[in-house]
Amino acid sequence: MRLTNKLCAQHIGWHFKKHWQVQGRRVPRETGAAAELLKMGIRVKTPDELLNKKQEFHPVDIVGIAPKAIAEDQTHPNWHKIACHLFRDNNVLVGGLPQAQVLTNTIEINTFPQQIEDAVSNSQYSKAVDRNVQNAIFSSHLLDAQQVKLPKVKLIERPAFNLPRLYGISHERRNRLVINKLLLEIEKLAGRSVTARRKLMDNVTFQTSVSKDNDLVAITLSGDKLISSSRALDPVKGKFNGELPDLYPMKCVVSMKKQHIYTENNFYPIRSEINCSHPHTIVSFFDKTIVGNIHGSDVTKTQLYGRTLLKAFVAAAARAKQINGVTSCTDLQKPIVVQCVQTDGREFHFGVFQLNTLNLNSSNTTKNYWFHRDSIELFNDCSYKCGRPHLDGYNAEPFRILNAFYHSS
Amino acid sequence: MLTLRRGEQLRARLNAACRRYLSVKAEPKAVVVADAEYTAEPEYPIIRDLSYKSRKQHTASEWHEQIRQLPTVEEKMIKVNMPRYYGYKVVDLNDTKVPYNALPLTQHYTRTVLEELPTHQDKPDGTKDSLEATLQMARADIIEALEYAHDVYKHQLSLLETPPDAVTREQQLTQIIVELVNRSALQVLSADYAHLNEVEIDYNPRHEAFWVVGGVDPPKNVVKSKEGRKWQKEDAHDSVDRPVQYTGEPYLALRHRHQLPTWKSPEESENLTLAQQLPRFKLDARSLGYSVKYQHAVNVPGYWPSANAPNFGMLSFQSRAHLQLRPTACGERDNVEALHALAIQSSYAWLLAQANYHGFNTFNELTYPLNTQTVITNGREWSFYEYQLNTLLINGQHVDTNARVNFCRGTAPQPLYAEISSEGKCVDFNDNTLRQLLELYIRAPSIQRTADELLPYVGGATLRRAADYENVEQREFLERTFKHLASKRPRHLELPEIYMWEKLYKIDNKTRPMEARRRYFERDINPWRRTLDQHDKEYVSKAERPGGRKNREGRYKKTYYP
Repeated sequence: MRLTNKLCAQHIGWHFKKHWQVQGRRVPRETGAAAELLKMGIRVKTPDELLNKKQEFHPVDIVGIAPKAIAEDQTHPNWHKIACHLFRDNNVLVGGLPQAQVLTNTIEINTFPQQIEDAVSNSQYSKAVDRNVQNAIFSSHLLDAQQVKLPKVKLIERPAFNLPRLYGISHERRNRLVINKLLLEIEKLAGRSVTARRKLMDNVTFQTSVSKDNDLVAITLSGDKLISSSRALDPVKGKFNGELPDLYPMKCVVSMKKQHIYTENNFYPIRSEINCSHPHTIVSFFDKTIVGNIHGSDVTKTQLYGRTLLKAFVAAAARAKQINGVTSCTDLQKPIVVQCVQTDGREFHFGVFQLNTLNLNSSNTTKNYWFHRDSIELFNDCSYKCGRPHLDGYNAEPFRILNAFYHSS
Repeated sequence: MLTLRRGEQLRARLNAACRRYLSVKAEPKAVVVADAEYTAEPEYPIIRDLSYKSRKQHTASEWHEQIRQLPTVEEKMIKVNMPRYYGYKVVDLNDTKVPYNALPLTQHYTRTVLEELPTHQDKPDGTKDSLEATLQMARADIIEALEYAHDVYKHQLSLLETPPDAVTREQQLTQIIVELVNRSALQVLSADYAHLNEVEIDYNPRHEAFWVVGGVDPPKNVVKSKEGRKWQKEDAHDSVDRPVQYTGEPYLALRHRHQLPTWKSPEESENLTLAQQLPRFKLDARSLGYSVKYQHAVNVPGYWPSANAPNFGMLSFQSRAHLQLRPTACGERDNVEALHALAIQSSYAWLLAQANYHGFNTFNELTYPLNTQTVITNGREWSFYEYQLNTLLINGQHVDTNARVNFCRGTAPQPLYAEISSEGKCVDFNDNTLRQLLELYIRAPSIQRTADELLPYVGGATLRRAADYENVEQREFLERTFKHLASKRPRHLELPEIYMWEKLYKIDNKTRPMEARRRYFERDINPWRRTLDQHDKEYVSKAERPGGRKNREGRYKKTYYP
């Protein structure tokens, strides 16, 4: 209620309260009594000292439902003086493939190694295989009955529109199904002699840290499917020369977050004592709702290529360090070759990475190799059109390359 | 004058009537026609029982007949959902929880006879040889796969600061093991057994099925309500129907174009005494610990209806990770029974969903049996089951009168290996378990039926699925509605509910007589009677309207509810 005459007239309680507040602020007048008492040797105490005695509280260690978060400062066990650039799955290099090349000291070769090129061009499949691949596309993109809430769809022209949320197959599941079904088809063609030498594993993690011209970079990336083999892939025959691209004025660690809290772990998902531990092919999925630039813009094609390269690099580097020791950063006696596939279920990007050296400094004359071609589409469109399943622009090339990759040794 | 005219009129009418009568009598043709109407034995029309109960039963069976007559698979499933706008109140069976003492309920709800097989012993030498070579080949592969899976998973876990809980760990590890074992088995066997080259593998598919079970005691409110009506008083304690929905997600499922061979003959399957010996769980399922919820009837065997999909289940791998959550007080015996119950529920539900894609459902009986095989595993312990689905009719009085029963036979869990040693080596590998697993793969789906035999209740060769309709609008409508029902998307508005204060102040005590009566219970509307098609139709804007902007008929989009 507003302070009006009416209120003052009627509300005696409020009046008393206000009166008390005013009187409470009164400063006691100096009477000289304290000085007299001091003279007599009596200590004067304030009422606070008698009435509100100081109580010491001891913090109680309460066991909560979750472990307490560790403070992210210098007390953190993983705190390092030198900051490190971190690269994880949801990030891409802003400079795309050229930046990835400079970062990993790699030259780009725009074809696959000769034996894979030969295998791709020589492959001949029956009609039945083609039909099976198309069925695999149908059953993973359309006919699977999973229905979960899909990410929000925004119209670019009308960003404020709230469209009804769609239910359907999640992106991750769609990719997993299409890769599993294509690999099943490939293994059927390959027969037991080849498949017995390969093992498949889902959702693996690779971790490694490298130093590049006084910058420390820790990379943690996942492979959504790892094909491991009982024998390491042979190094690519032939010598390749090339120049690293010039990124000036950009540095090759740009767009990677810098942090003081990190671990310099090296992690390769399979122990080296196991029979089938050599990295063969890594399949990783690209979901644009999860992966993006740190400034929020869409991922470009060259950034996608850069991501494939980094995935292959981290697998090869983690493997090399697992074999040669974590501290090694020299040229390798025996190069490590890793094949990599990145897909969003429709578009496929293939590449072969050969790790020749772990010394990434720009002064090093030995370079790593990255063989790749531009990404290709498995199909244009696969959806329900007018209430009927519809596949448009099917292209068998990705299946052929994947098959050649699987067979290469 | 007036009376005279009236008299003439009457006379004329009388004459006309007499003439008509005489002419009928005189005409010989009419006699012949009348003769044809007579038979030696009198044929009376069926005397309908006009009691309230039988009229109810008659309308129900008429509705079942309407469902049977519908031409496409999708329309049948939409039709089952038509009576309930907010969905049925279903008993929620799933593969993540099997409460204590669930076997009798499971057997009642699925009409299944369970045959427990003894654990596999060494077979006589004669049969051994055929499989021995393959077994030895598979043995090495599978041991390697097991060691590999354990080692890699253990290594991956070392990366995590806080490992996931025990159930998730078991699920993740078993998923890896099952995929690797399946891959090895297919590789070893597919050279000798051609049918394995044609299987379709579903990874973590969605298995759902809806059915209606009779023979359950009525709830208290139903009894009270019936006792309050004179003509229903006698039927107050009659058993009622309960809709059931199973939801599951196996690790892996294998499908094939052809059917597995049956292992029970039709004569064995039709046995009324056996059917009546089945356990009957008359109490509400909630008394065991199952829950109920409102949802539409959904039948999904892992994929959507399509023209040439492999439609018959061959093998499914189910999880038993939730067994860890059961209290130890349940005991050993009940744990084994829980596995049996899970096997029966999952097999029945998967087969029922497949049957739905062939035009049958819980109200329209199967015309041929369906078979499947089920494995429940946690990587180490494996139990193997076979299931034969003979009947789907459990609703209403069928629970008492239907002579057909379903069969399930299976074993108690057996270990595939004793343990994985600290060096990562597999200890005490059990060949018998592997042999049984391989036998499931080897059993070839051999039964082929003609299309008419497979799909007796659908429209014919040209009209089986909604996609076969010529009308584009109708195709799109049916596809959209079918998926919408299956998506379990929550309703935009909450389910109707009488709030507690309304029960006190508006229903029990009429304390607010001056208030406008807007709520459904004040306007005598039963919201649960709302049917699926009672909603606002979609508006067609003038620019897109067929027949011009001024066409009033095309203002709303047509609906094609069956």
